[in-house]
Amino acid sequence: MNKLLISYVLMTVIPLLGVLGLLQAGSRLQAPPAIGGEWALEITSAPACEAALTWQQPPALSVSQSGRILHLTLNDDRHTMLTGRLVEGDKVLRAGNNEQQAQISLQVDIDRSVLPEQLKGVLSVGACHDPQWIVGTRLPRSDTPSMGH
Amino acid sequence: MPHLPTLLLQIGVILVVARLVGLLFRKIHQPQVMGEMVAGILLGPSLLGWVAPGAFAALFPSESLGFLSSLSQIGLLLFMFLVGLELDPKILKGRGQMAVVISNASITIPFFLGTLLAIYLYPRLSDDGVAFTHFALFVGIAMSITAFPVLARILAERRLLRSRLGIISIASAAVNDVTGWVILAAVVFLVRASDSALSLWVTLLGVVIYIGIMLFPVRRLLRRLEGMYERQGGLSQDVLAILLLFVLASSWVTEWLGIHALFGAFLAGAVLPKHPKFVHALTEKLNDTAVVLLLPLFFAFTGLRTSIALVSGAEMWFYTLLIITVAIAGKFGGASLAARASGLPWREAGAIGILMNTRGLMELVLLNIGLDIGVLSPALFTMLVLMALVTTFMTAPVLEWIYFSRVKPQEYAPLAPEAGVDMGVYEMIEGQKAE
Repeated sequence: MNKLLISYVLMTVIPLLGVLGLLQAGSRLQAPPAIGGEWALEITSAPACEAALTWQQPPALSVSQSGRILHLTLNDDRHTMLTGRLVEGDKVLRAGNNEQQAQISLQVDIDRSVLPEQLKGVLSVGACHDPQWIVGTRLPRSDTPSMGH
Repeated sequence: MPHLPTLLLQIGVILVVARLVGLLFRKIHQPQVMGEMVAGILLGPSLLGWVAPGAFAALFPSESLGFLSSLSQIGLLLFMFLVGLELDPKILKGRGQMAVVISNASITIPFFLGTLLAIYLYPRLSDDGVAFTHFALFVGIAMSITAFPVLARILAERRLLRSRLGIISIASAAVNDVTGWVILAAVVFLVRASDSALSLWVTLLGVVIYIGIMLFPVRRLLRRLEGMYERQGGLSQDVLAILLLFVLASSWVTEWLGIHALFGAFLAGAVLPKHPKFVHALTEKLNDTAVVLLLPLFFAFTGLRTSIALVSGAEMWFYTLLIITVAIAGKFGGASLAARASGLPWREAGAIGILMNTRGLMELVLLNIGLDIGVLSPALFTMLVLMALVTTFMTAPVLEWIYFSRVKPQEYAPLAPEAGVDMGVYEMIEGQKAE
């Protein structure tokens, strides 16, 4: 009985106290700002370029966030996917794809001081000289079950 | 309204792939459920969506997901009811202390390591929309869960239920299961309470009253159903309908209280009378629909939410490996150490450790809840799904290696021959086809 009691204290009570200590210690941790979810986009200037993205209406951006690492899906006719990161003090989202043929990059500033949050920046397509200027507004989270991407 | 042809096609494809992959996995001595879990991943964006995006989009249009999700949730409710039904307190008689030490240590040690891991992962894989406490508690519970049904079936398949290893494992897993679901309910309750209209104390009071009602007056009423079963000599459709209504009502109450419908279904099963024949009859009626038809839908739905593409690059794979390592060290290591400290020889202690390390379907249930309530990011969800697959897959070969290849069946240690072990409902499992 004594042996079991000692085992119980060593392997249950002490780890449990450890959990409480870790929860306390971790409460001071900072995680990157939450920007995951759906964003409604407005294309404020589109270049006259054949390679430019053809958006479905209304234009939108879906962001899957894991810390600073982001996976983005545009609702253009090809459902372009980009991978990116939050940089510069988590205020700028920089993303791109790995395709040599149709290189696409996105750089937007995130403004979380307003509600709903806004983004503003440029979307560049490799073959086009001028970028598309975009403005986005974060949409409220829906209860519809989501897919992995 | 669901587009019926799409839904029927989805169910058909899911069933075919689940059965085929399940069969394949049985051939390599893995449980059917392992194959079905993998089948779900294969049907999701990780494989079908990657190799045939057109077919994937046509088969699983996003607007159809709600219907698939609802059906799979019904399946899960039935399954959790059956899991609760299989829990028989008799198993703890005479071995409660050892089971409590092993099961509690096999929760707190991985929980501690999971919380420690959360300190590292929170700034890297979460965001400020999730409180650290919620994140850490969820990672902790994800490390601590045991797939009680898989464990019970592995032991039944090996005719080990009456051995010391089997009895202690089953008892530990049963205590682990109850403790794990209570902690999960508490975590879900905490997360939801932060944006619930009801105050935390009102909800908590509601939960306590509900559990009290279930454990005492409802349990007494349910014994009458058992009496009806005995008088009628079988499970009539009326009794079955009453029981199904009871499961739905219990699930509805816990969902309304904010601790998730699955907890209500589990509790409904747990408080039912445990007369082996009654349990067997009820299990027989529900098991096939729940396990053969509806659970593969849940696996497919989980697979649709799992995108291995999210785990791209060395950094993300490092996190995945770290999660798997911590999960195995905590559960396998924790349970083995506790079993050894309780006086079992190393070989048996290791076997208990690897059995408790099986996470299987129960982990997927938990992870889906985490994703639904927004505590887990999609990438972390995928990493934890991979951890569930690895820990479930490794059980059979590691158990073979550390126990079955070295101990002959006639050498399996019985618990205490004079104890007259009452295996209650588990005797029925032994008779069923082990899946």
